[in-house]
Amino acid sequence: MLSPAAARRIFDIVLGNTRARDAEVTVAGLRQDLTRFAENAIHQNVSEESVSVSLRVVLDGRTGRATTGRIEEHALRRLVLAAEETARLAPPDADLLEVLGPQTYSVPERHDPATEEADPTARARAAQVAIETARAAGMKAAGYVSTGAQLLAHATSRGLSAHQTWSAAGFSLTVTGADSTGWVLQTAPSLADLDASVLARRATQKAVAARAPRPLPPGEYTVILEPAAVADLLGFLRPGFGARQVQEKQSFLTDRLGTPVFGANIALADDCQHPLATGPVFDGEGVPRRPVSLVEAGVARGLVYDRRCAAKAGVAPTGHGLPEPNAIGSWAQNLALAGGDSSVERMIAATRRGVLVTRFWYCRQVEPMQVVITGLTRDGTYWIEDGRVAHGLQNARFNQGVVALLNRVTALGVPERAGGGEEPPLVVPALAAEGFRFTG
Amino acid sequence: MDDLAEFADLALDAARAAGATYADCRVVERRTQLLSVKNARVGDLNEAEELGIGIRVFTGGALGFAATHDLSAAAIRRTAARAAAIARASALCPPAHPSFADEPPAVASWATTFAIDPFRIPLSEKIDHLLRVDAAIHSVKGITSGEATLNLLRETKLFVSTAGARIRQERTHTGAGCKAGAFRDGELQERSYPAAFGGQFQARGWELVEELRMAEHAPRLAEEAVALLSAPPCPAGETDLLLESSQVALQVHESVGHPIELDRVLGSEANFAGTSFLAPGDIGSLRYGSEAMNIVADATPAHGPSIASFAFDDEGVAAQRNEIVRAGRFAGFMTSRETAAAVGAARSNGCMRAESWARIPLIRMTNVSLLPGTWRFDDLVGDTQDGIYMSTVRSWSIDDRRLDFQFGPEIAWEIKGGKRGRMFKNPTYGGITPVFWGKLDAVCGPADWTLWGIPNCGKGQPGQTIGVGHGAAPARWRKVRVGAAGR
Repeated sequence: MLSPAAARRIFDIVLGNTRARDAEVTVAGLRQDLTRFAENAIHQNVSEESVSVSLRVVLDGRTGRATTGRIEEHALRRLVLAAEETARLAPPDADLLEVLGPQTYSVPERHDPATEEADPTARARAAQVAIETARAAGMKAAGYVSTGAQLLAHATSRGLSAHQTWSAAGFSLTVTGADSTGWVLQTAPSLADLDASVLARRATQKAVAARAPRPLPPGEYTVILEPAAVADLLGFLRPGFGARQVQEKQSFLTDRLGTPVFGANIALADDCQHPLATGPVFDGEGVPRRPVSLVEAGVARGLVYDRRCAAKAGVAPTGHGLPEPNAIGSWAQNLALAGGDSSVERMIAATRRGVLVTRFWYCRQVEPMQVVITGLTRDGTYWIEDGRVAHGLQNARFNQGVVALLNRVTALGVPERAGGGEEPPLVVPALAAEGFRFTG
Repeated sequence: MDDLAEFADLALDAARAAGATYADCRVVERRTQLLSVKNARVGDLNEAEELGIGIRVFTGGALGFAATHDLSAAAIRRTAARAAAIARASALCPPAHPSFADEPPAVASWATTFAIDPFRIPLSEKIDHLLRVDAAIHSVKGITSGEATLNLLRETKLFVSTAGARIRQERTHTGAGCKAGAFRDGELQERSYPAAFGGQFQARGWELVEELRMAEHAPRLAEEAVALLSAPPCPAGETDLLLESSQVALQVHESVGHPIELDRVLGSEANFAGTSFLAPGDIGSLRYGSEAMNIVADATPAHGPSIASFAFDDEGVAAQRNEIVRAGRFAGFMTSRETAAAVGAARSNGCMRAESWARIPLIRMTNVSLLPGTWRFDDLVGDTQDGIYMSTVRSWSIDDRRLDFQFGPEIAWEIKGGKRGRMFKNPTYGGITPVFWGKLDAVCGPADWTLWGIPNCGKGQPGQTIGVGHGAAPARWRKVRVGAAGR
């Protein structure tokens, strides 16, 4: 993968060749290896190495961007010409800010060289564990084992220089039986943190427990959402915490800042420094990402700001801006929902009749202001009766407002990094809530 | 200009040296331009290029794939060797009978056509165009957001294989669309033109943007967004349902296009995109829908200027037109060389495509199109006594076997006594795939048929996003469950 030294060489060439006084360069490098299996065999086994160099310049009150996937000197010189040409032809932008000068960053150690360089045999062995565990239960395994790393570096013509490297490993498994499935997904900075045996047993046990599923009649139910299911729904709140979305009246928080939007037991933050978080500690303009308290005791307290929206609002940017120019502004990519003192086991024990959900699937927004989501349960849905799992349930469609859901939470577990696989993971606990609307 | 063939030949030599019994590679050079204007300000403005190579190596009874942006000789050799090592590692958990349907190696060259090269239109003219569309949206009282976007792509791809294939393809795609938003009293309503997901995408040039006449449509669009705020919600119940053609395209995409991917049927996507309610033995026997339902998967350029048309797929298989549903009866899958062999087919029907040089080809929809019927749209409305007409995708969700769906268009109108009446907001409809298609009773004719390009179909791990095509015309379904879905 591209090294920080190679990124510095790119900065020197690009910034040394532009005539713009204000210029910013972002260099991204990716190494990603993934071993995919299905029907108890490895069927797709891949590796990729890529780079991206993106330059934005400001010329005469106009700005433009160009990007290249090539790092030869002639390609970088062409990049400079392309960025300058886009700026020359862009309309004047009265709100343009000069690029940032030097910043100070707190960069957590999230890079495991062994995970970046993991060989395909290591991944194949983990896949083998998954397959053998499912096969021993008379079931089929499908999933993946991934390893890799990313470099993100940012520099400006005014002296800013930042870089960060982090590794990533993932293990996901769907175990399929005659009439049921079970699933698990875990991600971590290091492959060594993923125990294939434990995860494979969990997915297999889920599939076994979901056998002979029964239909769930439409209605409102008490639900226990495991962390992946919580992340599947909470992810839809992310755009709404962006300041520009609120300023342009496209957020569920439009006209609601400072008011109670969720129950008093809900606290949400965006925090890239959270021990379970991942990703860069600076944004698309090089601003250090700082923790932002978004919701305190159910009251909407904060938004994430890019520099432009922050200037308009008269506040400091929070370090969540996307690369300029863009149509979105800022993005809360490290949502963290505060937990409580419960657990899935205790929530089940406290539930007389309800539904336990492993994950959701194909969630889409039906209505933006109450953040109503439709989707289905998948890979392990269970009926709870008198404090215990009674039997499996067939997958069921729901239509549920996330805002309404977070007003009816009765218990919260310990946060973990979780996601359903469709969107990047969040830091969320399991939760129990009343009145969840399954529509059949 | 880089010599793509030099990189490709080096990769094949390196793959052979690494022990490949078969190898192919794609060298892909791509240029894109993304422009958007939102609320009178330039949103996106990015000119991008990339070049890279992806090498697929078959050795030891399995495939391995590796890709790199680094086209130095040393890096290409290293990447080919990595692909071979990956293939050998797969032997720990090998598939039962890996094999590939035969395909004669082709030597060919092909390119899409356009009337006006979109990359030669000055950037300032493009931005002015988008600013005019945005201004037209904002000219309507009550509008709180407006957006117009333009996406351009030019790609040159060279595919070579150790079997002797050598195929160069060049394509130019243009996409454009706009969206109006109106917020009032805690409610947001939006309207898109000519379709959701950034509008229309075709293998054409700037002439597509001119034909869309977005600035002329924008005020009507904006007025509808504002009117939706005062409209009653779509009533719940069972009624006849008419869908506008881009919504029909989505219906085809989700409930036909994905379940007919043979890799899903065979379990390859079980962990992510899901499987399918179809089985290999369903060909010729399963009733997919009514007699009015005729669907093809047609990758040939003759189908139209689609972003999913090509001359050869990413395994070097020639583009084909295949019947998927004939008069309601299921007729065939979309296949690859490997899945074709798995079900005993003599040949792949050529549906393998990769998002980029960095990803492996997967079975992806080509142009999965509902063939036109004979109705004129006005006659179809006139023939409907009690129904709802819904238009433009807003939300879409379907289960992992592609059976249970719920879709929510942006806007709907009541139809009473053969006439379009009052507007409804927040419409949704749902059903079970073969039951729903069994209720199809009328499809509009060629005059109302549009070849839509949808740019954002996702599949695979690592994820791949690719453009697909769907020809569709407005159509009618009888007695469908409709109604507001949530709160």
